[in-house]
Amino acid sequence: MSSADAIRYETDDRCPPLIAFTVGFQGMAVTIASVVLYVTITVRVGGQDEGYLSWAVFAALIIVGALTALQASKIPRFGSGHLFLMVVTPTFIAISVLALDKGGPEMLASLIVVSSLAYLVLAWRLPFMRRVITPTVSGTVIMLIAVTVLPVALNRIDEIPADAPDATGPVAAVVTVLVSTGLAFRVAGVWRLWTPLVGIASGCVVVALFGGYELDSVADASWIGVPSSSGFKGFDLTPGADFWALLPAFVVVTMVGAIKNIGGSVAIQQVGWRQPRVTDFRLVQGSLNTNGLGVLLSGIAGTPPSTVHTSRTVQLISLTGVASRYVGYAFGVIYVGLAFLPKLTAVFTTIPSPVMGAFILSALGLLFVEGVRTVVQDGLDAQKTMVVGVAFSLGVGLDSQTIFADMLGGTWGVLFDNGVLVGALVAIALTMFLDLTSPRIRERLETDLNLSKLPEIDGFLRGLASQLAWNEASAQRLRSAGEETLISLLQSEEVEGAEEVPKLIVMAHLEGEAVELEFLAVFDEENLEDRLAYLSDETEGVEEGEISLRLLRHYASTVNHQKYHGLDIVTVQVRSSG
Amino acid sequence: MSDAIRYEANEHCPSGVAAVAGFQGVVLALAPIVSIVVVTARAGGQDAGYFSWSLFAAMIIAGVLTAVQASRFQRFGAGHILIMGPTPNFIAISVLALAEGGPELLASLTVVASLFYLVLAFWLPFLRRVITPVVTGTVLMLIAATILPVALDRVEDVPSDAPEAAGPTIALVTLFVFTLLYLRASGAWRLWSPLIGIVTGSVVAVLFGVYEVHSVGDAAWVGIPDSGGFPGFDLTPGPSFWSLLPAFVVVTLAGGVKNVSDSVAIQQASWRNPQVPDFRLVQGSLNTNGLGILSAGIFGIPPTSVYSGTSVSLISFTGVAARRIGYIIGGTLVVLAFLPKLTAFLLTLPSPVVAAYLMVTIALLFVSGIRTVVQDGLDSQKALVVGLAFSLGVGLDNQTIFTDLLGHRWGLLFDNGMLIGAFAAVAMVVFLDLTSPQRRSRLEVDLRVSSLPEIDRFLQGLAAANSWNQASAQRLRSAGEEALLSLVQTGDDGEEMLGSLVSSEESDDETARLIIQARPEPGMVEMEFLAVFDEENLEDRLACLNEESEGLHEGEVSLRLLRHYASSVHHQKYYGLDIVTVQVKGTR
Repeated sequence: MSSADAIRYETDDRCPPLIAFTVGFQGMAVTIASVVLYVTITVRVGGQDEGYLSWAVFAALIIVGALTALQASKIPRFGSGHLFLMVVTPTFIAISVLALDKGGPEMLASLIVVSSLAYLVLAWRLPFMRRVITPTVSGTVIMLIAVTVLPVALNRIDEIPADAPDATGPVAAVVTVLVSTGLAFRVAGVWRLWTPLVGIASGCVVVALFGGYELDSVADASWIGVPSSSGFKGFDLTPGADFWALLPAFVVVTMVGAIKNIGGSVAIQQVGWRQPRVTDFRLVQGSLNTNGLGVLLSGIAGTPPSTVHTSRTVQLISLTGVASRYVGYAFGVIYVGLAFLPKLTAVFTTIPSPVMGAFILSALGLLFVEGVRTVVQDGLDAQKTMVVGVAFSLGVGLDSQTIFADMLGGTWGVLFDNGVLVGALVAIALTMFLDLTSPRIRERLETDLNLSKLPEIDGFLRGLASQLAWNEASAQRLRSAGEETLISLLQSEEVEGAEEVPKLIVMAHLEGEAVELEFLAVFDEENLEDRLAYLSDETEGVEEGEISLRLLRHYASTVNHQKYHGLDIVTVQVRSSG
Repeated sequence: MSDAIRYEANEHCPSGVAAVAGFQGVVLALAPIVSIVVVTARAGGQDAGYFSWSLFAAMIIAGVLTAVQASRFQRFGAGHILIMGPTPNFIAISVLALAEGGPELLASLTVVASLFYLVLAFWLPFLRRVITPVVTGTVLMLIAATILPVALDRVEDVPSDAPEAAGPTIALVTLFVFTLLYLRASGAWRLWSPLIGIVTGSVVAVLFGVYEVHSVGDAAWVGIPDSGGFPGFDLTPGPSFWSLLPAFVVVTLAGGVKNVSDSVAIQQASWRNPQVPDFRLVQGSLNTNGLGILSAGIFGIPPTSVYSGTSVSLISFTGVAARRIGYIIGGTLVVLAFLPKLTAFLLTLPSPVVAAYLMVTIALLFVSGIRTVVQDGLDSQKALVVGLAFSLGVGLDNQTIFTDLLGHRWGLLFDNGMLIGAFAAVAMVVFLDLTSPQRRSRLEVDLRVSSLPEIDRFLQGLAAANSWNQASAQRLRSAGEEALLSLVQTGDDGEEMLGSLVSSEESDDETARLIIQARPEPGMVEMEFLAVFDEENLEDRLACLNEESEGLHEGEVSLRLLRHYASSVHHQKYYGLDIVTVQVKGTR
């Protein structure tokens, strides 16, 4: 937000075509390497041929370009209406490699198409899905994916031309890791983006010195053209055990990506304007739909999925001061144009397998740490510790065994010996067990924010206290806290200035021996349910409220007041004394 | 919790109370001691002779050391109740050592690791720079990830005539009963969930007809195990020794660092009113732990450590912190060691049950690694260290890349995931430390106004070293001056008095010290002003500061002027120690 003053062209400003293409070109420069690289790594480590690689890169470039343009648009139900760069997501590298390794491009295509449906379900059933796919579950699955793909990645280190010395693979891999890691530690700013490429280039030089680097395919490639359609492999319409074993991982990774996209879509609406605005959740929905479409199209084309890249977009806007969505159209045109330059693709296809293996080793390490971060993001109590530990242990342990294959044989045995599947199922089952057996209660009251509604609120809180079998003193404290909160909210300037009577929503949860009451004063009802669902993502507009809390603190053990655009939330915790 | 202390550490409690509290302590200690020895010996593929011996030795060592911890004997003993026993942190690597080289290898590794533990006690601040939470956390996760397949191998270890489903079913039932009870039970029940899981699994084993109890009937009620179980040492260390040694050292050091906080925690749990941690007792506790590991090595059993959680729980449940309880627990454990029927009964546990229990232990070890890794935050550099070291470790553990390239002896060493992962993590941490442009500068002076010129020169030099302009340098010097004046307030009579920070007895000290630690960061310098009113064990206290959370409260120093110069000011008070952290921004 500090860059708001530097915005030269706001999101809806029409900037001159020259500026749009210049900024679009800069956007392409900071994203092209990762787009082509991620596809190349996925395909090569997945053990696929150059025909498929050419096709996958071609399709990815077209999809990234077209969807960035679509994100910039406001076509009904599609587009974020903002400059929002799309890239191929590294999150999918690991499981895409597994899918390619186990069932080839056809299975990858089928899995991506099916998981794109999960993306759409998420958009509709966000609160429910968030209760099941908690950070504990998604973090565990991400860690499991990283660990189970590692052997596949390491197998590539020994893949060198038959006449090259034995040491070629390990030496090239070690040099790649050392250079890229050393640079990543000590290089800052824009240069940091290029460290993977410098590491890969170093590895390629080592392979060249060992005489194992083959450049023929670059010379053979034409400057302009389209890849052979033989690279497109179609779908696997007869899903087997490997498909079902990998599907949960694809669904979880898709959903993790989708939840992140919500945060990104909210954030991107804050940086494109000079003055802060209320988040428009129709545009968030549009952005999610476009992302879902991107996943679906990637599946249909059989290439790794693409997604929005919030930090690169924010970086581009901050550096150039141009947030105009017309840059998104220019970016799209440039990317689609690049897709028709096969020589570019050919350069990346020459990267030797050991170098790719080394690169993905670091990428998987970072994916694992991402899982660690996700797992701890909401804290790790004793119960979550057990869920994460048992699910991860079962997943990693079973992945190297044939216990169920020996016992059940065939499809079911293969299915249950798949570590990611078992780990994901165990994490989900234990999370649901905890949720279903939790003693906490959830009650909700929706009324007008008006003093005349005090009896209704009082009745609600009295009922709550009696349901919890609280004694008279505790019940009285709960009711008094409710009354004080209502009076405090009524003193707000927004209530006094409101044309219509604002809504008040009271939500109660039992937390141990305390009741937590959330009072939501809603001054702008538009997309309220969406806002409540996405509230944790809406950090930009939040500020500490200055509500008078002296009396309230007398009754409550903790009081917290947060102000959002058009929404005040007072959270009050009242403890039972018997 | 302090209100509930009925008998403090040095108080004499009645015999009846001591007996009841001691019995509870034995009950709490027995389950982990027995289960850890059972799981380690069984999963490591050892015979009944070794198991009987190791349980006997573990009980004796645990008993004797618990009593020593309760004492204050020379440089040994924590002077508090600190129950000792084999630690779950070592299960994974002990199993690996037993599987690869038998009890002799475990004995040699443990003895060597104990020497590192003793070094830790002397070199704690230095080792903490190398064995950071990032390194220890990564190694703990690596141990968990690489040992899991070994644990799972035991699931199918059932008599050949048993149904094929027997092993997996027994293991799953054990695992799920244990896990679900742990998730929903609270208080003391949670402590018993492992044993209930084991009993349930054993019942399922009986139903499958794979439980054999005849050895229990054959065992004597009282006696000592056959000395044939004593393994001796492996005095010709091979590749397995060298490849496992780094993991043993790191786990030992990680345990040592944790033992410091255990000792501080038990001291704070044992008194009605908070007291300054006595670092002579911390040292005594560490020495006793080191002795425990050395003894475990000599006797060829899994290494021991303090059960700080169990000890604190015992004090919380009973309200009795009298160290007399430690002697009672120790004595009882030694007596129990001479009951072979108990050992024989434990030997009958089916392998799938042991495997399930081991898996949960490893699971908790893995999450303990996660907690350790994130405890100081995970910036992008630490994330890369953890990620790369872990990937290398797990990835190489399944490969024979270096064996193919270098041959069996050296190749085996470099294809060992734990070794490579630990080495990579340490190497990267050392690289970051050595190449860091943010080297700390340090100045130590008396806490007096007369020290101002010296402080001013120090800060002037710091500003010059960072090429700050005149205005920024002036701001840095002014912030330093204000911080000093805030810590030293001059009284009306002209005598320097230690300000609002110091209690009357603290101000009686002859000379308080001031340590300034400055760390330049891009566009900013962070300065820590440490006013030291009690110099005893100062370096230890600085090393262990984050353990000392109980004594911490926000200071009330007048910081108005200081805030004028600094971008952020933070004041923390510890017993005998005040820390004011000041950030000053500057430009070149």
